[in-house]
Amino acid sequence: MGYKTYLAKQVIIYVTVLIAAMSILYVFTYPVIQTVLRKTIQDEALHFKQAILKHASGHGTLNMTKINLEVHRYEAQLISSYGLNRPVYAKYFIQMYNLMTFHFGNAYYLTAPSGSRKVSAIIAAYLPYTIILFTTGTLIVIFAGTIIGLLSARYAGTFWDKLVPTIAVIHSSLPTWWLGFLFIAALAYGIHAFPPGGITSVPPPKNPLMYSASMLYHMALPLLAFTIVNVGGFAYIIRSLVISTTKEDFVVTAKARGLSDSRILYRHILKTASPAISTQVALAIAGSFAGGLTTEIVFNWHGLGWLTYVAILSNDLPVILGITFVLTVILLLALFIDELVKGYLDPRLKVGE
Amino acid sequence: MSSAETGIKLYLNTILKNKSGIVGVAMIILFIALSIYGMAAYKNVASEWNNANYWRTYPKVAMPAWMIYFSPNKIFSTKTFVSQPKTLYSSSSYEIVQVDYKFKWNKGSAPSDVVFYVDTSSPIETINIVWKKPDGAQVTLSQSSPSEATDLLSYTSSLDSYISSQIGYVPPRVVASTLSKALFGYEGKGLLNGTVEKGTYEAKITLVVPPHTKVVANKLYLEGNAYGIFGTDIYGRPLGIGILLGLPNALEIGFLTSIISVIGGVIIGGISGYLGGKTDSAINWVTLVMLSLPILPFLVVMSYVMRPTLLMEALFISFLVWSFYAIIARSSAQSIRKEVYVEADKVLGIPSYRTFFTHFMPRLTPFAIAYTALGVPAGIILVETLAFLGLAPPGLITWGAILNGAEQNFAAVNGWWWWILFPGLMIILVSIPFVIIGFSVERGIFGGR
Amino acid sequence: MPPILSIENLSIHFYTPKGVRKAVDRVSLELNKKEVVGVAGESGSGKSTLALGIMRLIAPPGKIVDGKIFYHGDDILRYSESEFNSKIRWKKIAMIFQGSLNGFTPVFKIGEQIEEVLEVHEYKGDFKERVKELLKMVELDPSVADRYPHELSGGMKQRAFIAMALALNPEVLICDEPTTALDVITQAKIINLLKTLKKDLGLSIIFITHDMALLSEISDKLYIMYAGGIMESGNSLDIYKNPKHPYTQLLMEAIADINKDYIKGIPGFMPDLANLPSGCRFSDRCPYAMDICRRKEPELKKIEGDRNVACWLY
Repeated sequence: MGYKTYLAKQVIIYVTVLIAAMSILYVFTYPVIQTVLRKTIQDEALHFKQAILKHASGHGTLNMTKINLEVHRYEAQLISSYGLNRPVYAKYFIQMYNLMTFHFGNAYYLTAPSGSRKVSAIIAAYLPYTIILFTTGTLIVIFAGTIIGLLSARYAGTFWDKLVPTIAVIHSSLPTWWLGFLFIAALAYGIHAFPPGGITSVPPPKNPLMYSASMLYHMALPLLAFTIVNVGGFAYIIRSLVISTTKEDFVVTAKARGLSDSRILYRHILKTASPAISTQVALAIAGSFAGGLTTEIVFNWHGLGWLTYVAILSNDLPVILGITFVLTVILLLALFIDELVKGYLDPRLKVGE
Repeated sequence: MSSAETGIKLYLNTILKNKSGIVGVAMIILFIALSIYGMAAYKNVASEWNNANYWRTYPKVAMPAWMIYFSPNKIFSTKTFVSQPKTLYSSSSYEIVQVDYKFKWNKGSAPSDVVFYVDTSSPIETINIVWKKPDGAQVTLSQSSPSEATDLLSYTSSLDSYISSQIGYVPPRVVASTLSKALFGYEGKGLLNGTVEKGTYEAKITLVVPPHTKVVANKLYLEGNAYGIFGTDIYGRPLGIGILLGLPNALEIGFLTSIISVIGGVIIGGISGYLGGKTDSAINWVTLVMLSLPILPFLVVMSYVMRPTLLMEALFISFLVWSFYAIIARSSAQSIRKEVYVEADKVLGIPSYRTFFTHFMPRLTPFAIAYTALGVPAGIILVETLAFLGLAPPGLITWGAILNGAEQNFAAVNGWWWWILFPGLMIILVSIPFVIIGFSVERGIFGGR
Repeated sequence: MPPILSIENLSIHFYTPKGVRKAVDRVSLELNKKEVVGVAGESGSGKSTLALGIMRLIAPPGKIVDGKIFYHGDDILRYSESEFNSKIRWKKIAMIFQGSLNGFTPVFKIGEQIEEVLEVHEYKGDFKERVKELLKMVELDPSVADRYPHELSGGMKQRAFIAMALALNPEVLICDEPTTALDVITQAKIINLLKTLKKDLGLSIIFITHDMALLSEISDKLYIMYAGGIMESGNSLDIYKNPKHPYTQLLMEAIADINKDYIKGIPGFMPDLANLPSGCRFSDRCPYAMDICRRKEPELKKIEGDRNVACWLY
């Protein structure tokens, strides 16, 4: 099939995947959220009742029937606004439709720093901090990891080659958040070289330059922990990709016609392996948004991961759904862009092989 | 390729021939042995792990004992003293029993806490302690209806008034070590500055008890600030025991999630790549759905909502993770299919399920082995992360939970480095052999082709 | 006139966990100017390794352990790698590979790759003109230069590769199974092309294949290889008419002939090159094996004219 048809097909697949993923999440969180909502409504109704009683107490006899009626009406209003009285599938379809049109609704309990209760505002307030920290870190890891991976393939059998599996072992056995915790204890509280957490110093500097400097200073430790833990893994992947490409036939013929080893590696092999590398890059970048949850908590870095945790502990379902939606969209978008990039890099794909 | 070449024996050999492979296998055997030992030797301890009372007499947030070597004056282990109880007075309604301790204190710092342990056959009605310092100064502590073990925090009110009488105010955050400084320091404004009066101390304990009460046992604990191989946490629980008991849980979950997800993933991915066509597209779509669920947030949600048991947790993680292995298995199956298809087409006609199991599965076995090995540390880290966030199956001793305690109790600020370092090191240590084995099998796959 | 390429006692061993594979075992070969030397043998006989050895492309765990390769009198095995790469490889001795291999890098255009070869070897002259010239030589349309390898058919790819091989006007062309994966008609076309090129450019060719019928068409001289060693060598026509070595005889019989109503194969399998039998390496499959054959290895010796045979029958 042609390349354009392939792309269109991918889009359809991704959209359906998105819906399916969100549905799964919805199914898993539904029962408890219902219970929580009911309890919230009861609490709010109680508060409402108390407020009325307090207000009415100075005005003579209390007409309990009337008051109860009012409370009951209020409760019904709440039930309706939270959608509890509708059948399951109606709620589900409404929720899915809203999600797909990017209407995340209002949060149950959380608010954005600006005061808005809209989920989209809340997410938008905290998402940039995750990008600043983790996407930067991921880009560093990708850059350094690719260089190390290439060097280890180029100088097979020497120091570089032995280095990569060793640091890859680090990657697979060490949680970023623990290293971060250790760094905080040692480098922030032990020797006071770095701040122990937060995004900027408190109170944040007004001057934009000072603000950025403060933020960079606060990024140092988490970035360090993140990079140390992850660069080995990425380097290992790149190295494996390059090595397996090296086994292909055209490498022998390239050598046969007199091309130098570095020329073969940095032009022929790299370009041939670039589609696969591009996929890894896409996955790494997409993963950087969700993966930092625990690290953000350890460093008190108020980004998307931290928000996820807070939202879960607060049972704030709209926010949870909104965040999961955003994360999934980012991933699928990354994969789609990757398909485009691969099409550009590998001429075999454009013709629809 | 003969079946022997692709068999498991070859991979065991590949692993064992490699030096690091041997180390890896040896480490795993060691860990399994440690787990068994831990479960057997400390079985009753495990159930008492969350019982604060059990650990009363242990020093709190003590450093590892081997730190004593570095600074024997300032770092020391718990000193205990026993005495002979004397019945001073006895009547029909109550008795007065006295337990008197005299001891020398020559260390450069005060104990982290003092614990008075008196085990009596009937409950104590009141306890009164007269604490005499070497220079003659005295402090009186009293408490009514005390439990059999009381530490300085039980006498906070008495000690607070003593302290404020000396320095003029009550210190804001009162921990046991501060109170202990008060008992061992020179009176005056500098009571809490940490200087210790060296010499002979006396602690005269007077108990009012019901008639005919026997003192079964008594002990005075001058809590050290060093204990055990890895120190203790804020409840006095030796981290060595915690780490040891966390090992079987970690291994269990690691193995379970790894085996389930890898085998499941490899079979599903393998079948998908093998069959091709519409089935492949469908399975691939399902795999993509699973992949796009962000793992940690999803796990956090599920753990928070459902509070699963160990087994369920393993199943959850496997449920989210098998898709990674399915993808790899699928692309391998596709390239195998290109090779084997030619043979299969000619010899066997239409590929059948038997072809799948005799031709494909053996070729996929090396991947399964490599990724089972690599999957164990991934599972362990995932579970410990959940435990760190406070979401592990309750009652389970895990290193993540220990680290959670460290975080909640501001271990970083307080400089209790052992609480942070050792549980984390364990995670790394346990993961290393699996990663080594996984890598060496992976290298075997690539090298052999 | 002395041979332009003379291989003396070349041995190439592979050090594997299962043992030392003697892929090429004391092989000697001579190539004269404008000659086509055929190297024949079954799969795994070591023919391709020999070719890679001449090009000095043997990679670990393989190693050239012994022997000399004289090109115009110089032992090119003694050259340093950079010397060999700049003076000999592709400039004087070029190679075309098995037709099924991906000889071209998939992500670059054909023209780009040929130009790259010209650039790396510091070709003096206009690159684009030369590419056009080369493509014409192999009877390809010049537009092929703008195509990617996967856009070409097998036959076109092979022609393009031949064009790239001839880019620097080499004297020697090694052809390793160049037509194996192609259909019979394309095969014939490629062979004809090679014949034309040999005539027009004065090439000396080493042609490696297992296809005996093919060699009968083009080779002047023939070397029969088995399990790493040369079994028989001599004038091609003579060998076809009168094969001396039992292996050669069986090979000739195995050629499908429209006049025969059967195809005869050779029973048994080639021995494991790490565990060669003692004595003659063909002894366990030879219908005429004698006692001495299993004990002592026969030397390749001249029996008449330019015919050499390694067999105790002679």
